[in-house]
Amino acid sequence: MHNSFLLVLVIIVALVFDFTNGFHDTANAVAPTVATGALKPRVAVLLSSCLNLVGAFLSLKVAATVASGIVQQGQIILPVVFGGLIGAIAWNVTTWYFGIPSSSSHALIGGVVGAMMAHAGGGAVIWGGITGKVLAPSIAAPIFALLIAALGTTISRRLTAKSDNTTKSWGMRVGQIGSSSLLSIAHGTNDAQKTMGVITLALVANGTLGANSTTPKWVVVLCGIAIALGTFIGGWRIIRTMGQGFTKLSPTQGFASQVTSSVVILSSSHLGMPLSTTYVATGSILGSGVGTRKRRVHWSLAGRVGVAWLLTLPCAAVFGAASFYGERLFGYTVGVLVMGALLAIYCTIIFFLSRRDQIHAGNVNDHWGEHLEAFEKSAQTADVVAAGKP
Amino acid sequence: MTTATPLIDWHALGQVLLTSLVLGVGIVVLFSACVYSLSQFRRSGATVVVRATNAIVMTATLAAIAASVVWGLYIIIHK
Repeated sequence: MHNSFLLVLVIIVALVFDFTNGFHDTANAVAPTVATGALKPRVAVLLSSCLNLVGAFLSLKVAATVASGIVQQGQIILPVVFGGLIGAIAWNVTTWYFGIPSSSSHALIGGVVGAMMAHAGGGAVIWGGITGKVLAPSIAAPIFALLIAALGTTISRRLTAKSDNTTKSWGMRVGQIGSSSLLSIAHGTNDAQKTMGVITLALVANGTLGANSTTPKWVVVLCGIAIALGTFIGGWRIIRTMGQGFTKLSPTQGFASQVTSSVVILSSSHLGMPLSTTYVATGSILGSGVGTRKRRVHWSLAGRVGVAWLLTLPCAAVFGAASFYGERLFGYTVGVLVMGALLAIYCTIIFFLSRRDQIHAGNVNDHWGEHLEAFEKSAQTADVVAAGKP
Repeated sequence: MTTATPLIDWHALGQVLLTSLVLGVGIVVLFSACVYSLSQFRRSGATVVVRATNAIVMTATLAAIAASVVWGLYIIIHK
């Protein structure tokens, strides 16, 4: 099926998805740095966006997995890719509005799988690939991150217990700049590649590339730029949730969590696993809270985020399938324009709704203050109650 | 006769866990040792020997961290 018009539209929407992936996931790399004041918010996102661009050029293993390991390449058509992208963007924008750190990767994979099932049925989906290369690493990686960050924070806290607080705080903040940089590179290597994989899939579907072809260089460049621009915009709502919501981060916790996230993501990227960088970063932040002396973690918020994680794949799949059916209803060429217009209207509505309770670089650490105080008070009350028990 | 490929690549997951555990905890421990040494180095009344020892520890830990990061990125780029 050759359709240059449709191919160009798919590539544009894929780059829009990559952009939303960037701003949705800015928090993964910069939330602890912003929360502890190691860098000013704007400087943190600028540094992160530059290093995301660098990371996009380092490896193509994840792109290969996404292009060939999720759905049968021989049965894919461009409207399926388009529908999947529409589903993923819709889910990303929705979760961004609510400040939920959900997975852009799962949204993308869910969207494509949903659209593919609507087009060719469940037989066209490589379920083994989904289970082995997406679900298993996505469940295991945040648990690894939580345990390693908890261990790292505990050891670090004990090692530096006799250090003077000023030097310790300054040293760990400097370390955070390094660990945040490494994490941004890690994010670029894993997340930018997912969109590269989808564009490669579209090029194969259009007959522009042969099956199992490698990702062209121009795709790598465009995806790197799109994710870097998205990161620079900064998803402040999610930065607020991750930096202030789960636990009160100290520079030691911030450093331990960022180093843990970096090594988990980089080692997974190296093995071609398209895991969710968001889940890993969240696991690390929770682990750094567990590693503190009082183990104060806002588990109720973590539970709510966990529910959103469970919903991501099926909801994005439903959005993707609905988008594909919509395209088919109007005829593919007109249909993609209609669905694209509907997505644009939806994004505009969400944007204007978000203006009512705007989070930006200037207030990203302020808004959670009252919630955090309430959380600290409830934790202190719990301590008092526990101390009163025989 | 071919053997069926397992659905979940436990070997790869194990590799991720082991690498992340060694590097993640290792880097945090090394950097914490560096921060502790810096604190001792800056302490008023520290002797020349204490300062020199802590300076060596700081240099060694930072070099080890830099080497592990560069090595990790090298492997990712070149394999």
